[in-house]
Amino acid sequence: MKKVNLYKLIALGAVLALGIPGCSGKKPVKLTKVPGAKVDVAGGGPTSPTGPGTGPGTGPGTLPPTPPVTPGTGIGTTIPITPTPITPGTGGPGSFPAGPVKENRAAFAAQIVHFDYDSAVVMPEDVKKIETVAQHMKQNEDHLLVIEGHCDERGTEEYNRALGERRALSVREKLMSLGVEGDRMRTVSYGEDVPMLEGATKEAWQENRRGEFVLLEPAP
Amino acid sequence: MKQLKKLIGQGGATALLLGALGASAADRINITKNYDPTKLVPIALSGFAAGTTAVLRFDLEAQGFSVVPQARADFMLTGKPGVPVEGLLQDRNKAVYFNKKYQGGNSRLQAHALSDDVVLAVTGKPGISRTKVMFKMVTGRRAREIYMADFDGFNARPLTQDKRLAASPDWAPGNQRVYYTSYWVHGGVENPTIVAHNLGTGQRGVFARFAGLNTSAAVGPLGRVAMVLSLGGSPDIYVARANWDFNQDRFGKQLTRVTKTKEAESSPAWSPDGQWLCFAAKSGGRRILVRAPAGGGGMQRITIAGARNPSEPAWSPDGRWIAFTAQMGGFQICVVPAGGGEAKVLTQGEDPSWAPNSRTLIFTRRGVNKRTLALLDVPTKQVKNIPAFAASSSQAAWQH
Repeated sequence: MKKVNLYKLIALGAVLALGIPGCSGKKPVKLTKVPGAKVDVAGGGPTSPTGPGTGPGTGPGTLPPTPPVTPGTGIGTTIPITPTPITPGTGGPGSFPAGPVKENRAAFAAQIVHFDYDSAVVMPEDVKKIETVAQHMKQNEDHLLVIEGHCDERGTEEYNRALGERRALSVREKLMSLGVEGDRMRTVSYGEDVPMLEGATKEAWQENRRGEFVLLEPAP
Repeated sequence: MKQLKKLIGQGGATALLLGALGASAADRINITKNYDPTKLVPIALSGFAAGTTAVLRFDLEAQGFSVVPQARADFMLTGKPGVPVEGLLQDRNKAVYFNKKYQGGNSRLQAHALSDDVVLAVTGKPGISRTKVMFKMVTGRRAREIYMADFDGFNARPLTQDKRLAASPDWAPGNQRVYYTSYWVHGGVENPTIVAHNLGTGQRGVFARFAGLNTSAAVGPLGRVAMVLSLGGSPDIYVARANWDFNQDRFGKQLTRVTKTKEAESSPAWSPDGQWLCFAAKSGGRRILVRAPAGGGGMQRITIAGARNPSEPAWSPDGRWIAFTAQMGGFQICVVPAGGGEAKVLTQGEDPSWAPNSRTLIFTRRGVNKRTLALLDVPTKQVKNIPAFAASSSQAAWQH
């Protein structure tokens, strides 16, 4: 099963590489000066079929140089979160995502899973939710998935960032055991940075210790 | 001169120089030889403009002094209002330690320079009044920016304006490059990415962006970078050699994998000789601190008596101490000898970072509405709160 996917991806990648102009393979992008905000993409290598979290990076891109530092810059107001269509990566084989995608947070809003304090173990009562996600992924082979891991505030920051990642990986492993290919899924930990509920209450903490699924559908 | 220094002891060379100014060398030698870092040094300030007094007071109170009325003072620092700043340091016998005028910069910087001279004269060690710190500030629901400021919180300015989540800043030796975690979006996917940022040129590049977690970059004295990656299936500690290039190693095969566990390791901290990493780990379900050779090899547990659930270790530049956060009810700043032993629980707070003087820590406090930064003088346990910023601030890192 894994080998077939690898060949499929390489074939897909070859097609993509031929079809996309300017994708000439790796470009040295480390600390390259870039005027303006354009983000260049370098292609990735073939996806490793095994192991959660393996596979090449999603391409380094080139960050815009930082703006000149002006003293006395005020703190920005809250930035509204608007769902935007995601610009396509022009990556080669194995890039995630391989083509243009649209983020769909609503698809699995009812499948948010929760965790015990300081734990990354998938709870028995959440298995059904994960099965729902798995079923969708198996029925829609061209869909990709981002699994977010989150923590409550009762831990130190980088400890929580690592714990959030363990939670996301835990869910990913469960999905793989249900037949979803590992290279169609990515994990992102937010630690305690993006709580579902603000406040230092048991209720808030419980809601915040969670895994969320973000579906990536191919954009038209 | 060196031999004489040895004979007379700490601060004695200064005393020798000051002999020319006509005070008794024997009195001064006694005072400086009696310097006890665990005791606050009482000093009186007089004659300075209000703004200068405020700067001097903060600097000195952060470095083991107590500003008191003249009657109770062991030292007197006298200036005059207006610019440029000048200062005369005397002890209670009126012996003169120095009498200096400062030029250039601005009055704030001159005051910091004066503080540093006081610290050097009294303690024999360089002051930290002109050093800088980086930290993270909340700027939106899904946005954090990396800021830099003077150690006292003044002159804060943003290093990033990406309107994204960011975290965990660290300085490279030489303080010209910094590293931090940025939730960079690439190909439409947001992913924690380790960014390398040249302060001099403003240029930045992706240092590591493997699938999954890339965070907690820590630059060692030889330029190697330790980081937490989930590249191998679980958050583990990896080390990149000094000239490692992510673009040439997209699968991370050239990295040294220091840990390989089902648990998460976090917050690597380098020993000052660049040989060891200390980091948070788990063993038998319990949170512990361990050390491991930076080139790979087994983890050794660091025995800590008197503090539970340690994380966020920071190794003092002189190699002697590991400061860390203990989670016991709330969060406590603790220090333990680098080889392990009895921990000293110092003050409420988390995420300590050492100043170059190996005695001052900057750390985070959780307030009612937001997180703030504070300073701790470890030997005297004196805490100075840094004036709160407009928004929650944490994850402070002191320059080298």
